[in-house]
Amino acid sequence: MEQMNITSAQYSVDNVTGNNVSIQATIDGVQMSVPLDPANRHYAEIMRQVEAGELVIQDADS
Amino acid sequence: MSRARDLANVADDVSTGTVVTTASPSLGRRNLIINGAMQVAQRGTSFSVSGNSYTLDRWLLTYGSSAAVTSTVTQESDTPTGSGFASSLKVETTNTVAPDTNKNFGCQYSFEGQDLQMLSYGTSSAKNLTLSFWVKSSKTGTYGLQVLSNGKTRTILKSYTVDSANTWEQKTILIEGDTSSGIDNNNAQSLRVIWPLYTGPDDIYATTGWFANGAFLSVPDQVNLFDATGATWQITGVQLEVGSVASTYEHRSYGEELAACQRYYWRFAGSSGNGYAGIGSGGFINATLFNAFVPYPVEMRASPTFSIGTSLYVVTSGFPSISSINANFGNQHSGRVQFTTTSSTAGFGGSAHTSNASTSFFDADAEL
Repeated sequence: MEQMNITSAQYSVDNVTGNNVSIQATIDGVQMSVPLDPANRHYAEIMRQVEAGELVIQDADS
Repeated sequence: MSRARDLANVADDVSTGTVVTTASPSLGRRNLIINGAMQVAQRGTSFSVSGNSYTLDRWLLTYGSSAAVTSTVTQESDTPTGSGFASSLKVETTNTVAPDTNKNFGCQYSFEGQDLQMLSYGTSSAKNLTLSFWVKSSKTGTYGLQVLSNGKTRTILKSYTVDSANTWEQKTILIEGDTSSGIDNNNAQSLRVIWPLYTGPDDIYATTGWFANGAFLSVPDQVNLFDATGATWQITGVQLEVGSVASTYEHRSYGEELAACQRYYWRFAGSSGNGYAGIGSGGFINATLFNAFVPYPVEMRASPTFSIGTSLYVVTSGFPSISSINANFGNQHSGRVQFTTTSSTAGFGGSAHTSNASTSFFDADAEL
């Protein structure tokens, strides 16, 4: 099946803990806030593309 | 014979009022498909499709290998006369593309594995399924029907024929149980039912029965809907039920279908007339970050992806506008969303909401 077109991905952090909590991504032209849940189809596709060397998730803005 | 035994053995043919004593089809909830009557359309009623796209709730227009086809998908009020349906899903081609290698396009419905354990796939007791639906197309001929199982590793191919152009026809297809491979008992995508509308020659198979192949496939002589611009294919009244007999369509209320759809996707949207949809209450942690607790209409399948439209605001001492979602702390039960806004005041409470513009919405997506 067709893969998603992901043109950007960047972690978002919890302001209190400093931990990554989600990913801001542009998927098929839409800005999305993606949870770090392997059962989420957007997160699963982001990680598949990362593992395939097709995508890099940028660190959160400091 | 006990009352319970009576009920277990009775199947009521609703269309004729005839009551027969047979164990199949079963009473109670029969249709495994959500929104088979195409009545729920939270995302909208018209879509330009050029890549994988969820359209009417639960219905995905799916691509294989970057097929170049494009179409418009709409919710229509055109339905089979006297069938009791009010809506249908219509695909209308907007370009012309010849079948090409392994490229594909079709309409797909998919299930969570935990909802199909009663099929006993992977055992000698694997149950048959019966699929029934109404279809109308401008192009007559043979159309494939693919069922993919077990995490996209097993396939069975069926077909149906559109006999008359631009005429509603009801089709019934028996899908034999897969005795060789089971379905995982979890919330992941398991069984998919695909109605191919465009298939490249490399993905045409004449194989019958279940076989090991996870690709997007169809049958010999598959119609190419995209051999002309403006060709149409329309569907409604989709019912998938356990057993080898198709029963009359199980109509459910709009509210019941909407709630079932919301496990996978929901939208809080503005609308002219009754305006502003509340998203959630919370407070500013600094001048431009507003944390809101977002209750969901129902528990979702998984932690959802959030996205927004335009013209959203926070009601506080003023009305700072929301420009983006900064972070998503949600799980499948409820959400906490951190919005980026125009300037306000740290410590102030408030509530996030849409405006009454049609482009103003907050989405949660946990689709398969």
